[in-house]
Amino acid sequence: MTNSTNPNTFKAKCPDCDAELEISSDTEVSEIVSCSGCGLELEVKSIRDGCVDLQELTIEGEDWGE
Amino acid sequence: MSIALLYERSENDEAGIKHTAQQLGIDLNFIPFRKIALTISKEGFTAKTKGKDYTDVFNQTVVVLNRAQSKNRRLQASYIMEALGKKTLNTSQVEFTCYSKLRTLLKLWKAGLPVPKTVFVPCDASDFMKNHREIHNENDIADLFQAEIPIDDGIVIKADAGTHGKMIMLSKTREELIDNIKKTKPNIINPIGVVAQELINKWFYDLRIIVYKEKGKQAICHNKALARAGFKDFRTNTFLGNLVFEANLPTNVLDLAVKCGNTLGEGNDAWIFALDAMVNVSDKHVDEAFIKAQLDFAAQEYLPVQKVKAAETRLTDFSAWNTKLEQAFSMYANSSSYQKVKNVIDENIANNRDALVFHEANSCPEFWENTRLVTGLNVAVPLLKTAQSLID
Ligand SMILES: Nc1ncnc2c1ncn2[C@@H]1O[C@H](COP(=O)(O)OP(=O)(O)O)[C@@H](O)[C@H]1O
Ligand SMILES: [Mg+2]
Ligand SMILES: [Zn+2]
Repeated sequence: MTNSTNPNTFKAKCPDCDAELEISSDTEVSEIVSCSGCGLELEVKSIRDGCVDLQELTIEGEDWGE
Repeated sequence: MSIALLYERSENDEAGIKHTAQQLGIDLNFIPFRKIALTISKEGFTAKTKGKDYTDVFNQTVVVLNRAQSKNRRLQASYIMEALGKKTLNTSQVEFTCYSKLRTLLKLWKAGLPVPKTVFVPCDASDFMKNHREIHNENDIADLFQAEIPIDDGIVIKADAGTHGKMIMLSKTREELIDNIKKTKPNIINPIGVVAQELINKWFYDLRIIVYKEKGKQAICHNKALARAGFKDFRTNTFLGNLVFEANLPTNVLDLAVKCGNTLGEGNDAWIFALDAMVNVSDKHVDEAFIKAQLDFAAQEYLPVQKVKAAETRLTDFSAWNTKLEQAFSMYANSSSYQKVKNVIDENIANNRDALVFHEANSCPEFWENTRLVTGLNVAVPLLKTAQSLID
């Protein structure tokens, strides 16, 4: 969560690989974006004052197992 | 020269491995495997996501800790990394064995290790002919199973590559058996055929035992196991709401587990397994009503642990969250109901020490939330040490 400088994008951080992400300012809450660093899908949890909170999607693949 | 953590989504186990690596002063590279495109061509290879080139990370990596959550991706990851000259933990050979419960059981059985009586029928519940007509094999499969295992004793059908109790079904009548065979169609967790097993009279718990081997050292079995206990479902996976208890392992069981590890890991310098085992209990030496009551009390004691587990602070401050988790767990483990159930399990294992069967080997075990807290073994430590042992 970082304040944006570019008015057309919000800055955010990938919760998984810490990459700095630029999120388009017309992004809506609950939209799914993907991290350019690790490729993970992230859900936009909230946008407040240019701060974007991202959370990993809790997908669970059919064959996920120990 | 480094160790890379290969994963798909960083969950508590992966966060725990990172956390432990920091404490041990081990540098890790990270390989978020899912969307890294691997290209092989006459120029060599590249590994790239849309925004980042991981080729150098791959090149710097000597050992890969393979934590891909999907069993199929984990298998591919191990083959890819070995083709690129990396050491893998576990190796592709081990992953290939553990992928399938049947392949695991065959190896253990061949080595003379105790396994549940198991029947494999290679055909599927139904087949389609060229003219799209469906042929049903359920009755034949059921007959073949029943010829080996009396239905009154219970027949367990399993998805060969399943997990978390998925598609593990108990049948006590012919009708149930037919139904359950029908449900076992070929799919990603059961590629082909149908696997059935005798129902082990495991009373109310089963065991998860950690064995591992560093390169150049003898295999080790941790002397405490994770017991998963409850009467709710014959499947005792924690995923299905069962409680966890520490269990002391008698020496003969430790020896057997080491043999299982050496059998499944044969030909590999290093390996790590979480073995699933059940005790075929002949004497239920304590009244069940007492155990049920204690389990109910213990479930209450466990609520604060569940609350911490669900807390989102895990994502923002793993270390602080972990401290809370450990505190909540230690309260639970010190409760009198926990101790009472633990004592029953310990006594029962000791009394039935010669009646253990091994039914599964997990090559990429979950550990941060249960195994570690219960048994005191942070599996990330042997994982990282074992990986280090592979760096020449
Ligand atoms: N043959 C059996 N007899 C009794 N219980 C069984 C048997 N096989 C499996 N179970 C129960 O079901 C659970 C899940 O089975 P398992 O083979 O370990 O598959 P999974 O990959 O889903 O963990 C076990 O932990 C055990 O409690
Ligand atoms: Mg299991
Ligand atoms: Zn990322």
